[in-house]
Amino acid sequence: MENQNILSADKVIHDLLPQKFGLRGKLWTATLIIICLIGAYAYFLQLKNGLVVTNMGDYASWGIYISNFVFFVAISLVGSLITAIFRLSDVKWRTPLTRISEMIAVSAITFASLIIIVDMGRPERLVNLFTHGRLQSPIMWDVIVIGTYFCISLFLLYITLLPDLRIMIKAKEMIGKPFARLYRWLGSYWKGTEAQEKIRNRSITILCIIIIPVAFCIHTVTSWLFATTYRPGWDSTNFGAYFVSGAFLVGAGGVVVAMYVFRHVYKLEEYITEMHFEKMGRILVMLALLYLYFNVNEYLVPAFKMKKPEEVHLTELFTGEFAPLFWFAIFIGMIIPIIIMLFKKGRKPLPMFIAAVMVVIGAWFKRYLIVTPTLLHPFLPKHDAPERYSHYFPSWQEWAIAMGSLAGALLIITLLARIFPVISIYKTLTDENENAQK
Amino acid sequence: MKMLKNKSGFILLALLLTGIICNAQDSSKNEKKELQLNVSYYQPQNNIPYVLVTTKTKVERKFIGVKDLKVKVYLNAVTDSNLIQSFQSTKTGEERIYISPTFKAAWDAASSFTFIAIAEANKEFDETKGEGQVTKAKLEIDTGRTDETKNVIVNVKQLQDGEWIPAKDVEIKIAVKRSFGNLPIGDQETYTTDSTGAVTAEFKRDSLLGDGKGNLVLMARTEDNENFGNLFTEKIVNWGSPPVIDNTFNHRSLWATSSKTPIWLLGLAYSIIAGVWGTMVYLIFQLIRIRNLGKTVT
Repeated sequence: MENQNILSADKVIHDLLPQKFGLRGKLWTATLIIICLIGAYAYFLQLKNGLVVTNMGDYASWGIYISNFVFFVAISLVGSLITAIFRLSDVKWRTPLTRISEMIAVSAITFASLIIIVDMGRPERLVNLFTHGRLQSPIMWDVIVIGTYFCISLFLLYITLLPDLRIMIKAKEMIGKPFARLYRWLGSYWKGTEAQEKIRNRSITILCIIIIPVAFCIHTVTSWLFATTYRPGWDSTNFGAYFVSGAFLVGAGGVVVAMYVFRHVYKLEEYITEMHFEKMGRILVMLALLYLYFNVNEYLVPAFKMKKPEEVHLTELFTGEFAPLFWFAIFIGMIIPIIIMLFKKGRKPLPMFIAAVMVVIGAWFKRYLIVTPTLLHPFLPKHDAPERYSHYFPSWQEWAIAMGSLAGALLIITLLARIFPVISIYKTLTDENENAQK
Repeated sequence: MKMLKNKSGFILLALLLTGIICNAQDSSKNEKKELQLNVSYYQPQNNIPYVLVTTKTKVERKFIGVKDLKVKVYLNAVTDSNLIQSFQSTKTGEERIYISPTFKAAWDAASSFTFIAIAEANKEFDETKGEGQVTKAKLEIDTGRTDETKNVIVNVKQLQDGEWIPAKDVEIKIAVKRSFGNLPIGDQETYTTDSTGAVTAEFKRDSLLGDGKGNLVLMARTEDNENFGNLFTEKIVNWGSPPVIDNTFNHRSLWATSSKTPIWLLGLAYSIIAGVWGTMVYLIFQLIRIRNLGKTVT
C-alpha cells in the first residue's frame, strides 16, 4: 500500500468488522426492500395475467428484462477482473477491492438468473429446459455457464472469507450476537493452520484460473444469444469481444461506485485510498477506450457499407427514434467518463465516483439499445402488424420488475456488507505485517 | 342590389347544373352493362364431356364473374325438350353442365352439336345468348422410341358419318404434368396434326424428376379448338428419374432434436463441463480437507 502508516491489528479489526446500520443505512435498506416489494407485486400481476401486462409483442419480444439480464451478466464479470486477474498478476493494491467485487459478482449473477426466469412468463416451464434441453441451443449454454459462474463466484467469496470468519467469531463481543451463529456455522473449522492456509491459497489460485475462462464464456455465450440470430445489429462476428469489453467496463465502474460508497459510509479512507481511485481510474479509462473501439467497429463499419436491411436500424440509432438514447449511452457511458478520468484531478474519489456512475448508467441504456431496436427492425417486412408493434416502451410492471431486480441486487450487496467485512481483514493484516517488515 | 342580382344568377346556374347532373345520373342508371356469355366444350380423357358456361362482364379492364343470372342451356335448339339445364350463376361466373342421360339418343345419333346458352335479362344486363359448336372427337396418346430418342405420338380423330377419321391441322399442346403447371416436352409450344391426324413429338426432358418410381404423366390437349373444343388425355410413362431424397432430418445436426446432437458438440461441451465441474468437485474436496484439518486442531 502506498500509505506507509502502519496500522495496528486492533485498529484494522475494529475498522473493518461489519458495522450496524445507522439511520441512513436503515433508510437505504428499507427503500430497497420497498422497491423490491413493488417489483414482486408487479411480478405477481405478470404471473396472474401473463406477459400481456408487458408492452412486449410480436417484434419486441425481448424487452427491458433481457436488457437487464445482459446488464447483470456484464456487471458480474467484475469478480473475475479484480479477484482473479489482479491476483494472478500479483497486483499488490487489490486487497480493499477484492471482497467488494466478489459481492457485486454474486449479487449480479443471482439476479441475472432470476430476471431471465421473469422473462419466461411461465416460470414452471424452466424445468423443460433440463428435461428437454438441446445442447445445440445457445440458450442452453447460457443456462449452464450462468449456473457454473454463480457457483464459482459463491465459492470464491466463501473461501476468501474463511480467515475473516475466524476473526469475527473471536470478535463477537465487538460485533454483537446477531450473526455469531452464522459465522460459527460457516467457519468454525478454520483454525488458520499452515496446512489449511496452504490448501486455501492453492484453491483460490485454481478458482482464479478457472473463473477467467468461465467469465469470458458467460459473456461470449450471452453475446451469441444475439449474434447467432440473423438480424440487423446482431449479425456480427465482433459480438463476443464487444460484450466482454463492455462487461469489463461496467464491472469496473460498479466497483468504483461501491468503493466510493463504502469508503464514505464506513469511513474507510485509510484502506480505500486515493491511490486506489487513481489506479482504478487508469484501468477504467483503458477499458472505456477499448469498449469505444469495439463500438466504432460495431457501428461505423456497417454504417460505411449501409446495406439496405441494416440502414433502417442504423438510421434509427444515429438520427431516429433511438438517437437520444444512443448518443446518451455513447457520451455518458464512454466519452465523458474518459475525458474526466484522463486528467489526474479526474481520478480523485468524487470525480471518479461521478464518472463511474455515468459508466454504469450508460451501460444499462447501452444494453437496452443492443436488445430493443434490432427487434423492432426485422429483415422480413412487417405485414398486417398494428402500428404499436413497431414501437416499444416498457409498461409500469416491466419498469417495476426491472427496478425491483436492480434494487434486489443492491440489497444483496447491502446485506452482505452488513454481515461480512467489505474489505478482507485477514489480507489487510497480512499486507500490514509485510509493510511493517519492510 | 347589384349583389342580390349576382346571387340570384348564381342560384339559377346552380339549379340548372343540378338538373343536368341528375339527368346524367338517371341516364347512366338506365345504361346496362355488356355480358359475356361463353360456352366451351370439354372432354377429359375421352370420357364424359361437359360444357362450361361462363357469365362475365368487364369492370375496370378486368373480366369478373356475374352472379345471380338465370341461365338456360340447350342442345341444338331453343326448345323446352332440348333444355339440358338451367341454373343461377354464382360469383365465380362459371358453371359446369353435364349432359343428362335423357339426351343419349340425340347424342349418339349425331357427330356435331350446338350448345346454346341464354341468360335472362335483369336490372344490369339485357338478355344475352351464347353459342358453342362442337364436333365429336377424341385424342389418343402413345409413346415410341427411335434409337435413343423418346417420342410422344398423339392421334386426333373426329366422328364423321358414324366413322372415326383422322383430323388434320389440329393444334395440340403436349406437355408433362408438374405440380404447378405443365412443362412442354420439347422446344415447341404447340404441334399440328398431319394428314393422318397424328403428331410425333420428341421428348427432350431427360432426367426430369418423376414420382417415387420415376413415373411422369404425359398430357396432350386441344385448347378452345373451334371444331373440337377442349380435349384432353394423359398417359403415365416411366421416363423420369426417381427422386433421391437426402433426408437429413434424422441425422445429427445443430438443428435436430436433443437426442440428435452432433457428436463433436457433445464431446466439446461435455469435456468443458467436465473440466470445470471436475475442478469444482476437486475444490469441494479441498474444502472438506480444510474442515477435517480444522477438527484435528484443538
